[in-house]
Amino acid sequence: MPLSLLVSQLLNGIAVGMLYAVAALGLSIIKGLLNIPNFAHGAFYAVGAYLLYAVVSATESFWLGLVVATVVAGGLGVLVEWFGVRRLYGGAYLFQLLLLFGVSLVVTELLIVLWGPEGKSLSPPDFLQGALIFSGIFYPKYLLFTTVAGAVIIVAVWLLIERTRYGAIIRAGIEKTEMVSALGINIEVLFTLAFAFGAGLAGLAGALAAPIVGITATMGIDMLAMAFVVLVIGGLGSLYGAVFAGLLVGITQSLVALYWPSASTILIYVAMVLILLWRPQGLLGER
Amino acid sequence: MLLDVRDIHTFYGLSHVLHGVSLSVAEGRVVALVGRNGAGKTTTLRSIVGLTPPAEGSVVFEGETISGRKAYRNARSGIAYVPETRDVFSLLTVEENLRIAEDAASPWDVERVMRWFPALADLRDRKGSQLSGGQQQMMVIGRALVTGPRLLLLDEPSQGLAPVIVNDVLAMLKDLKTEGLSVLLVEQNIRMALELADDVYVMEHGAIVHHAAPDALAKDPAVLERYLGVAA
Repeated sequence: MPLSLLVSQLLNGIAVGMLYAVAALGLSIIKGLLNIPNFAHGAFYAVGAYLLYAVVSATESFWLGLVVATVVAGGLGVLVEWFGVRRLYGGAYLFQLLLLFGVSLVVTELLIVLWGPEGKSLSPPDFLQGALIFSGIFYPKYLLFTTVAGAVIIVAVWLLIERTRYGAIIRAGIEKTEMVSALGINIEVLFTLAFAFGAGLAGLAGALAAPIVGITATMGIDMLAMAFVVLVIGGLGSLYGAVFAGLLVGITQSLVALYWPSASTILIYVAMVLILLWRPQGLLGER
Repeated sequence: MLLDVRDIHTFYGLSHVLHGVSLSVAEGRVVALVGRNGAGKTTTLRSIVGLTPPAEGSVVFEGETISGRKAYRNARSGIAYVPETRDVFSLLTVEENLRIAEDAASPWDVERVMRWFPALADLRDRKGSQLSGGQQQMMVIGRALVTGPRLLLLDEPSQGLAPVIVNDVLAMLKDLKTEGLSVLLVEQNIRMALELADDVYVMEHGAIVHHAAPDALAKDPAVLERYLGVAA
């Protein structure tokens, strides 16, 4: 196996891992603050991909497409939280799961109604087409872009959560919801915003992924499963465990695909089981 | 009257905890609520702030009925609650703990709290979980002050603190009283309650069973013994 191929595949894995990390970070915020397993996360991801496709088809603007994908997925998150999820806070997991799984099915079907059952493909914008080639390593520009964009998003989210008053309120709310409301903070609005924020991150991840993985109404299902795996491996209580585990999973998957392509996905699940046996709280989770 | 609690009944699920509690706090007064464990003191405070809303009766604050409103609105209208468990945000720094509560209209801003408790200023960047019990208590009182309260609900501020620290907390509360802050204080430490309060209510089994001035109560060994288990 030539080294250059290994490096190419590693770079590929980092880009995919960034997408996992961004999607899982959204899932992690929703799980952490609202204690809700967002089974509609994959649907928001697919919505993001279709919106990028629609906006690029209509206006040719990739940047506008990313913004619309994020904002509309977030807006959809507001609706889902407002009309559905908020009635189930503190209730049984089963109901939350059923509601969000239902939302996911409805959204997936709507995408098919609107855009048809066959998948769509979207090429990267002109300035991100082609590849960088250095010492035999083939690095598509769009993957480089995805990696940089993922890193920028993660750092921006980190700054928002760790360095702003809103972020401090979110961290306080994750720990002691009731006390936050006793300090005069409208926790319901905070919950809606957090859900929308997580959904927006899913939409953005979906849009970024669209030129790489292609666009189908069910694309979110694979991502949802992977995002939960990433969340569990990283540690459910840890916001940033998702980032670390996302990269780890992306890279592992890509490298394994070189040697044993058919096992690259199943191996991640096996790894999850082993990690859970060794550290039930996940890699960065705390007990 | 700043606060009027009128015949409230509060439940936790099916269990009936408060059986018609009435009490009032006048502007600028410190009122103590004492009684044994499980008498319903904490539930009374939680009912007032709206975390465990009463099923019957009403809470009137500054002439407005506030029972039935959400806790965050009651907090914004000037009721600050310091729980028995203190509820420090352990992952936030001391400064962040105060900052998220800060209201621009409060006479107390974060810097004033830091000047008032110089110990906190030195611990500004320390995480909430790294503070001692006494430091935590100072911080959560500071956190209540920066919300700009007209009434402070204080649940067992002396609990779990060394006697020396209890004296510090007592001195602090006396300062606040001098400033004219109105306080409803729940306290197991009778000496502290009697020293601070202008007015004392005694609770048992979810009801007010005695209401007296602190001097009168101090001279009433029968009441102290019966409801508080204190041999005076």
